[in-house]
Amino acid sequence: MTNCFHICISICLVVFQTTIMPFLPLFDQFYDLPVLLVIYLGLFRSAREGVPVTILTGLFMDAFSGAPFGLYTTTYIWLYISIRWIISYLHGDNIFLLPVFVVFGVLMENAIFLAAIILPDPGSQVSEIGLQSILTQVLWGLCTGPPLIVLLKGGYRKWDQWLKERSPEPNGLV
Amino acid sequence: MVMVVGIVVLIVANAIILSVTSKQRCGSNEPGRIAISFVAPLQKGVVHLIRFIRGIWSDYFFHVSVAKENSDLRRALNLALEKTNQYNEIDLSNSRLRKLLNFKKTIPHRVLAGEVIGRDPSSWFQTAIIDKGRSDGLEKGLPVVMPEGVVGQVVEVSSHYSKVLLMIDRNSAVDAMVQRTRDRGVVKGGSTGQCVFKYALRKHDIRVGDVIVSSGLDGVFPKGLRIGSVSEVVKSNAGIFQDVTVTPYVDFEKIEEILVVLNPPNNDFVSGQ
Repeated sequence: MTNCFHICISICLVVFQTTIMPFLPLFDQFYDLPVLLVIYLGLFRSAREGVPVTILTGLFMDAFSGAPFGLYTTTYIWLYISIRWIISYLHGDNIFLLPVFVVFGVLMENAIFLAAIILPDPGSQVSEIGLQSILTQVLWGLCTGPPLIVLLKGGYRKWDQWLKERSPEPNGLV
Repeated sequence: MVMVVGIVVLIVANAIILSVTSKQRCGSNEPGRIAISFVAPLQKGVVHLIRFIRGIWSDYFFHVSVAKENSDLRRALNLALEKTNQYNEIDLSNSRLRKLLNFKKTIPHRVLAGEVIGRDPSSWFQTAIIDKGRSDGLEKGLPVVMPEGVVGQVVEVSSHYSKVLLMIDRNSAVDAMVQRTRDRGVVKGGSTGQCVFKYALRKHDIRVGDVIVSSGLDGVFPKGLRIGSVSEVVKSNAGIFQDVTVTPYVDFEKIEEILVVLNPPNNDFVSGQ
């Protein structure tokens, strides 16, 4: 059931990112929304849940993108691993660290994308508009990322609670 | 007997009193005045109270009916606005489709209209998802065009949907030429939503405002389709090529309907060899 919920959230984010965001005038330079899901999974869920959803979300995004196939999956996996590594040193539940995680996620994704663009074609350069786009994404991430992760966390808490209420009693077994 | 007499006396007395009082109607009537001064304020009070209650009652119902009418009117207004918006959308869609249909008539190739249903999630890459796929006769490599000009090329096909690589993507390339001088080059996607006209020799006379059209020699795009206009020409001292920036005619931010050319010119090209 939880996996279905993960998949639903993932699909909703992908659909929102590909069909609604590009047509909203202010949000055309918005950061990649599924990054928030990957950060949330890295911070608050187990690897057993997090890894398959991360890979699945990456595959969804790869299917919709013109990027080399697997680029999103790679990015999300590395982001997930990095987040897991970071929270082995830092406290993931600290709300003040959320902006740091979001900025890290946005920058890491853009860095991997840039590497994927520049490395095969060493002659190509990143334009000023490209750099401005990264800066805009970071600013958007700072403003909207932490509340959205908190929202995601709240939604998952409700879901877990709902599942717990629905699950059968253990028939007195302790 | 006594009773009858009493009644008669009473009637007579009454008649006398009435005849006397009727003669003195305009004169002073002290008891009447006293009675009026006692009762009239009460009458006034009661009448005011009734009017007040009637006023509240009627106002309340009036307000209730006005509020209901107001909410009905608001609903009707919202519906009308929604309908107007729908009509506007239909009108715009109609004119776009008319334009597309007129354009369809002008190209000799078989084309299929499709709708853009999704865009690339990343701003680093430029693709679009359209609602036509293999079941509609699409296959990888088919050119995608619009009345304004070249849009891109189909790069992935599923049963009902396809992915189109837009012309402004870095990986896109279209064999093209300057319409005025017939100088050839390759239009590639740039990094800022613009394109570059590559491999244009320095000796070629290319000016700002020149129209770039597809050459048809890549075997993908039909010849003569508009691509964009030259917005910048830089001739550096070294090198054999000049840097030409092309602004596409298609507004890639706003594409909604496109045409996929189902029988691209590569067949003609191959058969013409």
